[in-house]
Amino acid sequence: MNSFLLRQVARGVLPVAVLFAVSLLLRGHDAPGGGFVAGLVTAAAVVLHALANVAPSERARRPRVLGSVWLGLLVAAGTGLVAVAAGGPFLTHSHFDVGSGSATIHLSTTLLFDVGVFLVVVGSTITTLAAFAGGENPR
Amino acid sequence: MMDSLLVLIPVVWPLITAALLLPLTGRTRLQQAAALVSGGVLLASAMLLCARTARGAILVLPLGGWSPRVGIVWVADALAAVMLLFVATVSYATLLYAAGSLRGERERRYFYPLHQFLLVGVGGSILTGDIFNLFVFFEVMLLASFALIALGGRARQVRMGVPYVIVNLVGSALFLAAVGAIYGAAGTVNMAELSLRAGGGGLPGVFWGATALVLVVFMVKTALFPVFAWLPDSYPEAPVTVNGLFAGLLTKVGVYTLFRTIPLLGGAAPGGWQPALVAIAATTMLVGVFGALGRSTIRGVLSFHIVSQVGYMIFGLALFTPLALAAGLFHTLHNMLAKTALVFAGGVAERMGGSGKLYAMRGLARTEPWLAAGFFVAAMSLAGMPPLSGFWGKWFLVAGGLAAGAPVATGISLLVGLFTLASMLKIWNAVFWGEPKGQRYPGRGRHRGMLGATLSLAAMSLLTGLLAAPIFSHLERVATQLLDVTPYVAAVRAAERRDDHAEAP
Repeated sequence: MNSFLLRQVARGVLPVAVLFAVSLLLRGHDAPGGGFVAGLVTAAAVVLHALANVAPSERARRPRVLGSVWLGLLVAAGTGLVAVAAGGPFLTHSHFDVGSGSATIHLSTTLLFDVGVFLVVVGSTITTLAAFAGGENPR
Repeated sequence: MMDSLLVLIPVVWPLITAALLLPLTGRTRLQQAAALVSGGVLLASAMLLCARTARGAILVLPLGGWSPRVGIVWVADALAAVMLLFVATVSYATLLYAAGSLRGERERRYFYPLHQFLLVGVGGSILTGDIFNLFVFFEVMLLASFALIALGGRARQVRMGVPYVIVNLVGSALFLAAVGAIYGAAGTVNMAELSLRAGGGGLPGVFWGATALVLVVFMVKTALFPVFAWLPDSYPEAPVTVNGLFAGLLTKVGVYTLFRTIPLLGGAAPGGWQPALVAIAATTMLVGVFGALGRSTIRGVLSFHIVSQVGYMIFGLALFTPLALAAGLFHTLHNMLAKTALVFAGGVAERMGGSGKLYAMRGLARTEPWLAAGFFVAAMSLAGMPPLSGFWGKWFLVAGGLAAGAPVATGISLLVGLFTLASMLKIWNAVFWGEPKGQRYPGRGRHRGMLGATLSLAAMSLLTGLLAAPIFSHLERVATQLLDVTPYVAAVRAAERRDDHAEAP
């Protein structure tokens, strides 16, 4: 769609959506959010960007984001396997407190797991939607 | 450590393999080689798991160290182990077959990673100890199967695949709703806890209603009468490799879930389910075999036969005695080998004739004796000829059926055996017998991997028949443990106590 208005909106939405996704990702362990939702928000922003700025014929070309899928899978499975290597059950996570007093930040390996999920969701959603965008019609 | 690895590998190993295969997209030969290596590891670990659980040990793995009361457990008992072994076997044969059988870039491109994702779902469905995660792993399995059944994307294939997708999506939605209702009524989704609470009595009618709904969904996945119609039209349209893989694994996972859940809850369930299930099983056998006789393509007949055979397995379960249950399990394992071998042999014939139509091409027994031998052994096994595995499956079932006092259904199972023989001979006559004619592309079917996979599966069916006595006595122990229920429940609850002191953030 060649629309001036849509392009302007998309330009504004993309950075906000990505920031929002990052905040969802970070708060996901203790509050609503997490890698899955963050991934969907990011993918939606990227799709909006593609609708506004990429010509339909170009959209059909396979986007190169499959790497995000397998990298994410390895990260997520890897964080689970660290515990196995240490002799604990699969997917046991470790928690740390960084800083002290009111400046304490709670970190855990679940965040890494969530980053893995995030990567898988972004990659697979974009790949799927791009396939629907035109290039992969059944013969 | 070793124990927990053995429980982890069937799910996590294919997942890692899939992740590692994806960057190799487009380099099919390398993907196949890597998948074969990975499949070897899976097979070896399944053998170890079988050995470890053979004496009745039950391995419980609480993920993340959470108590099974709130967390996720994976449970490997002898039943799960033996299923995983046969899953790994069929999946390995499929990998051997795939190289020669997949046609063109569109079929090959994503097959190997999708195959691994399917294994993740199958392995998880077998190992999970709670029904919510059963739902999750069903979904993993289904998502991969949706992509696999449409692999190649021919218009007719996509059209025939749509009912498969819709039926399974509706099934999943009902499943999820029922799991929610069970959680609301019983306060847990852990199967061991559910069994305990059901046994204690006093659960509301909602619980049993929701449980019945879950079982109906499992019946849909298993393709039992009257909810089988999604299968016979969609499977033959998928690529042969996928057809063989699905025939060997998917409905059998449905069968497994019924074998897993019904003994856990059946003892406390309101009466009447048993005769109903016997009737469903008998009707499934009949409808399946007549449907198969009416089909006019090789894989059409074979795919409709899946339905009929599932009836036998569930017949064994419905009788609910150790003997009959073991017979149902034996039949399940036999079928995973024989049915996949048949589909694979049929696929080669289809390739050589350029069409799957019966009588389009004849005389393969003259020109391709090895392929014909593979088909013949598997077909006679399916029809129940001694000394092949299918004979023993039926033999034990008849014994179990008569002992349990179900003469009518037992008689039906024998009658269906005759019609099975007729439909196998129908394919044999149309494709393998007679003067060679219509073999338009003989070169296309001559592939070492395709022939090797078909013959190995047929040989294993023969071997299972020859070793029927030790295998069956093992399965009888499995069935006894399954019907006893207490070892399973006790093992999961022991894990609860062990982990209550563990960190729970």
